[in-house]
Amino acid sequence: MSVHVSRAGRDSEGSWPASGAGSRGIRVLWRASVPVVTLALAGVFLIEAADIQGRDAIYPVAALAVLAVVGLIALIREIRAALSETAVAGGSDGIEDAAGAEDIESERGIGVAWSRVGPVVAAVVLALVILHFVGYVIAIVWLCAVTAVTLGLRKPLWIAVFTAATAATCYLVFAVAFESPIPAGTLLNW
Amino acid sequence: MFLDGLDIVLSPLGLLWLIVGLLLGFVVGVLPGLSTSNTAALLLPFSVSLPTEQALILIMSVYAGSAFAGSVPAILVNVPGEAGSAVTALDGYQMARQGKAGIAIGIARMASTLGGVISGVVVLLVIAPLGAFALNFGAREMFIVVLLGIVLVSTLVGKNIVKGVLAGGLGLVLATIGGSPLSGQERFTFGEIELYDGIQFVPALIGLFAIGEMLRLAAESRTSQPAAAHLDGGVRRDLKDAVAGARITLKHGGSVLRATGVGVFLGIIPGVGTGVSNFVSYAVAKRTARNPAEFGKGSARGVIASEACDNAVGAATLVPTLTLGVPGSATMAVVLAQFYIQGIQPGPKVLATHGPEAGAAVIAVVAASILILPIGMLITAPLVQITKVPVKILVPVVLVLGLTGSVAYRGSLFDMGIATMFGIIGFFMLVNGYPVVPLILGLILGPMLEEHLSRALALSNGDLDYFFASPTALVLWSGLVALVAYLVISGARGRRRERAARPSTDRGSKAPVQ
Repeated sequence: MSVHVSRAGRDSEGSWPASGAGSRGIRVLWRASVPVVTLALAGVFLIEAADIQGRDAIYPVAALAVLAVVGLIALIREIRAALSETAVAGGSDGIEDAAGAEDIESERGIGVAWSRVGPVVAAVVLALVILHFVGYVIAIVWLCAVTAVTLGLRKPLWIAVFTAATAATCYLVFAVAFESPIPAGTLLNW
Repeated sequence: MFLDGLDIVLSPLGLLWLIVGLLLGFVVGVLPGLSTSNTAALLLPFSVSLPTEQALILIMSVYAGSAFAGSVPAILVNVPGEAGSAVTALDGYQMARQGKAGIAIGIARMASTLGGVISGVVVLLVIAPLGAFALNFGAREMFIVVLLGIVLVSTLVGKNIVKGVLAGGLGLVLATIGGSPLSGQERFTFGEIELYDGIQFVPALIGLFAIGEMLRLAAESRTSQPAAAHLDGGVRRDLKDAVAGARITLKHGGSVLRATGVGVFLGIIPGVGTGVSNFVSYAVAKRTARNPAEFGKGSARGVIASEACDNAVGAATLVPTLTLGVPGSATMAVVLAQFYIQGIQPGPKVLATHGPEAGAAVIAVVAASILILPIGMLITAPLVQITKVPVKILVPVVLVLGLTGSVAYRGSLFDMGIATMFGIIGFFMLVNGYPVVPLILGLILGPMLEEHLSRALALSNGDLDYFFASPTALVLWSGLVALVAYLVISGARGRRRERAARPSTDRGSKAPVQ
């Protein structure tokens, strides 16, 4: 899998990162995001490790030191790669694999369509926030509907049938068949 | 171990979970975007409520089913359903274009069956002696073995070693959250009582494998459905093609054995996985063929090389998982988590303490591989329809299932938050080219690494010479040093090649940044 750099900037699907004026900084920030977050986490944990008494601190501090060193190497390499990266000439989506990006499950390239993944992530987080108040069914209906609409399901009847069927099936399987403790919600107390 | 395992698999419940797992594996295998490890992670909330052996049968049959079913879209649509089937598409799709789609699927089905069965038998033969040898390992040797496993997986699963090691290190650090294994002292809980038991595997696995992968799928800007070749002619034609495919496969017995051998050998090495193994198997088959030019143009040997190896790897990955407690693949990381959740620590002692369960896991692969023949033939045509499930349906369903599974595990909204957080982390890692498997491995093996290190340090009174004071430890350290030296040298060579190739690339189609 790859992150793509498009000369055309944001394409019809809202792909990003874009190239062009002012995009270099964004690209550096994007490529460095994982090492930066890792280093920040290592820093916070190292500060917290000062409170750990005795031999309990040896292993975590050693692991944190390794993580910090590898994170620093990764950060330098990502910044250097982002700065030397060349944009790909293309049409409306200008998609081509960039070097150094991969995962073990798939080699297919993607352009990150933020216009789709952003609302999906927001829907997941909001479902998590409201679940405690409105209960499982409403939160899941919300998540399912928003995700389906964001990804291209358009007909209202289909959306209604699909979300209702998905929520009902999950509820029946987990709450009824497996008797799993599904939150009922404080507001509606389902 | 063998007979007890056989008893478990052939019991009514064992057979039920075997068939359920196989059918689920078929569905997962044909759906591009949903992998075996995703599904195994999604199944964790269900499987923890099952007895260990039945949960293992379920996961192993999903593994076997998806290894074959991934070949169906690879042959018909030229889109591999799972990573291992990418190689099948090279010749399978060419056969489909020549009007031999049914025969290609028949070959894949028979090769998958033979690969799984032969590999399963080999694993049954070697696992007990290997387990007995590993029983001699003390805390010192186990520390080195676990470290070696983490280094192997971190460096082999991706193309970029630094990214793999970073992911593994992150997993090791996150594994230190919670009560210390030495004294119970709180570490990195930030006052959150739910973190005292550490990060739970189930929501973390669901987040990284299922939610992260679905976010990645949602982020793809190209989601058009590929045009499919199709199977027609009804049941009689399917049967005729299946028989023809089986005959062709049996005629190439040497190819099957060679591919299975490659699969078993590479499957035993943690982190290699089906993707790499299948390419190696294909390369070996091509190199040893009388007419290598036929490869890539619809060669039956090409399909056999990929499919027999794919299913052979599935059984072989159980060897390091069960004997050393180091998972051989992403799905085995979930199997390992399954053991821990059930209160069983995988490793050398597991064959002695939970031999029947371990035997059942291996025999489940063999039995599922055998069942691929009849069941796979019956449902190949309906499977083709499943390849048409669009992302707009698949992503919401898997997201809802994943989040529900994470909250249903302990009835804790905190776990759902953990799954969401790991999903977002997994997404960022995937789109930036960081493999998630080392993170999972670090999370699972971290406590084991710390425990063995602490025990070895206690035994040696803090003397580090103790870690080198046995022949086995020296051999293991040598392996670790050789691996690191190889990685450093090959990395330097790769960078030199990259630098040498760069000027010509720059003169190519890529335009400079504006």
